[in-house]
Amino acid sequence: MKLESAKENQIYKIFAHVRSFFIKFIAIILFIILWEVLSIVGVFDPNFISSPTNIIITAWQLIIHGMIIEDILYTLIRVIIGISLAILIAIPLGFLLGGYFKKIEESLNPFFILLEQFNPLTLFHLLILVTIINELSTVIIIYWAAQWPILNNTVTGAKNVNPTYVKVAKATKLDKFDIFWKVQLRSSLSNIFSGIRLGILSGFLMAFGVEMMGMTTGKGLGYFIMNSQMNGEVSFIWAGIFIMTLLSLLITLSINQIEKYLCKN
Amino acid sequence: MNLNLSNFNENTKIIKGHDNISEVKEELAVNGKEITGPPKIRIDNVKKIFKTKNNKTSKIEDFIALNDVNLDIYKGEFLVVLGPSGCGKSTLLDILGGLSPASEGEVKIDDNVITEPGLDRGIVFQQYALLPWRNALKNVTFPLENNKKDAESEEIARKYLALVGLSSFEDRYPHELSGGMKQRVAIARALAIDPEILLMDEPFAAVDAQTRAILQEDLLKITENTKKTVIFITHSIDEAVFLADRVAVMTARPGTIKEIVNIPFSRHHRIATDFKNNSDFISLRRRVWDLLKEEVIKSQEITEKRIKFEENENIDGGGI
Repeated sequence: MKLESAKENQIYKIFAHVRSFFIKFIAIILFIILWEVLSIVGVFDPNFISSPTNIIITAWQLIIHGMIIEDILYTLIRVIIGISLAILIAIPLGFLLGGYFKKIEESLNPFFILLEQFNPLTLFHLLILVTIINELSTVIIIYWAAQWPILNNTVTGAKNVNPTYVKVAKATKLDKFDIFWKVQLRSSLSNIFSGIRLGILSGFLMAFGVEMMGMTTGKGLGYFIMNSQMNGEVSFIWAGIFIMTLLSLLITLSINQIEKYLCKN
Repeated sequence: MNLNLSNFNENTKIIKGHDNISEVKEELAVNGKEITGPPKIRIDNVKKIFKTKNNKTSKIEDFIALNDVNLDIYKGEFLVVLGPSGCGKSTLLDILGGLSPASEGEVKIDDNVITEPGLDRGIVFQQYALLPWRNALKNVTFPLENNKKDAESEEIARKYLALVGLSSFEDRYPHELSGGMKQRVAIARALAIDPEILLMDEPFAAVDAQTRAILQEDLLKITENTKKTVIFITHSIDEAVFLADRVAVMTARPGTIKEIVNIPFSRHHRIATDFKNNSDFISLRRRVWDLLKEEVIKSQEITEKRIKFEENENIDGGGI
């Protein structure tokens, strides 16, 4: 009796897992199946749109033959450096403005909104002149694009720290650093992380923009896609897009994991 | 019990100085409290002024929140500060807690003037004020972490969670707790530093009526067992009369102490008997309400147009 019910329980558990998996990913699965079917039937012309299986096979071939690894690393490193810079600068700045110097923030905010609208790609030639090195200019552009969402969200987070929490901390004689570390930073964490996620999106956008403009040293996924376009390698284009989407997803997911870890401790 | 309530409608006095200590001691002796020594907390001519901007003239003006507050609180006493909303009760508690300085006057604890927060005072704030990213246990260890090792502070926290009856809920996060439980955790957090004085700022205001009744009883028991001096702020007359050894009634803004009402029943009596339905309770409540009513009206600024019953002469012919 007992064994049977345990078995039933296990089966039920597996079933529940499968079910929740389906609910979560059903849209993606259907999308890919539909895409594949339409490709096989011939609705999608392979000269313009590759089928999912073709994309995955091509991507795999490109990776194992080492034709795209360098490009992936270039893009990845540029984006990581740019976003790290943005995080290092925007989070402290956000706290200074949102938490400690609210009056300055009031006057600076309109200026920041103006700067935020400004597209750094348009001044790329000037940046190259100033920085001389191409890599640095790419990183600066990624940093520029990524910092605004992080800054804005940090300011919002710092401003919205519940004053009672600070009172609680003060009442227990915590010093200013501890109040910042244990209360102010901790309670704005979720705001900061949604800022970082948005920053990653715009950072990638800018990275591909710069690379596709061909103004870099001729490396990076954006350049790879651009190059494949020139050579008419349709499946290479799609493989490049596939890989860059995966990269962005990967970084966002790892940021989510970091957030989860920090929130537990 | 023989109550002298003949001076119900006596013109109430605004307390300008401190009470006669020996008189107060006699009063408190009736409550089953033996008072030894000078007042534990002495509030001396405290005044609090905020600078505010007038919307019409946009000039900076003085906003007097508290004016000449004088109050003595004795060791082991449960003093309830009762006043209309906006009379500066919470401001007074902030000053006692050392979270904001008095503009004039001073507050002394055992002859030491308060200038900053201290671990001799535990504060229970309005609206729970639990840190939502910490579970119940970690919320209680929060004030201990700086001075004690993790294991030690967790042990203390467990002890106080048990005291408020939440032993099996230590892993729960605030959003998983009911309002009453949250406030119990907040009380445990305030007690965890083992303060001599417990400051409570309308702690039960956000809790439903039935839970509140239970919390009040438990609070009385806990404070009696732990021998804390309690200053409890509320705007609920029932709560004040039920909990207090003495009720300090405040005036409308600028807040000052209007009168101190002694509640001549021991805590044991209040818990053990059906005190809230007792005629003594009702007459005390009536007396406090008489003191407070005028201030409430003042604070709501409706003095000019008090709503009156319309004196309808032909009641028989009235209606539809």
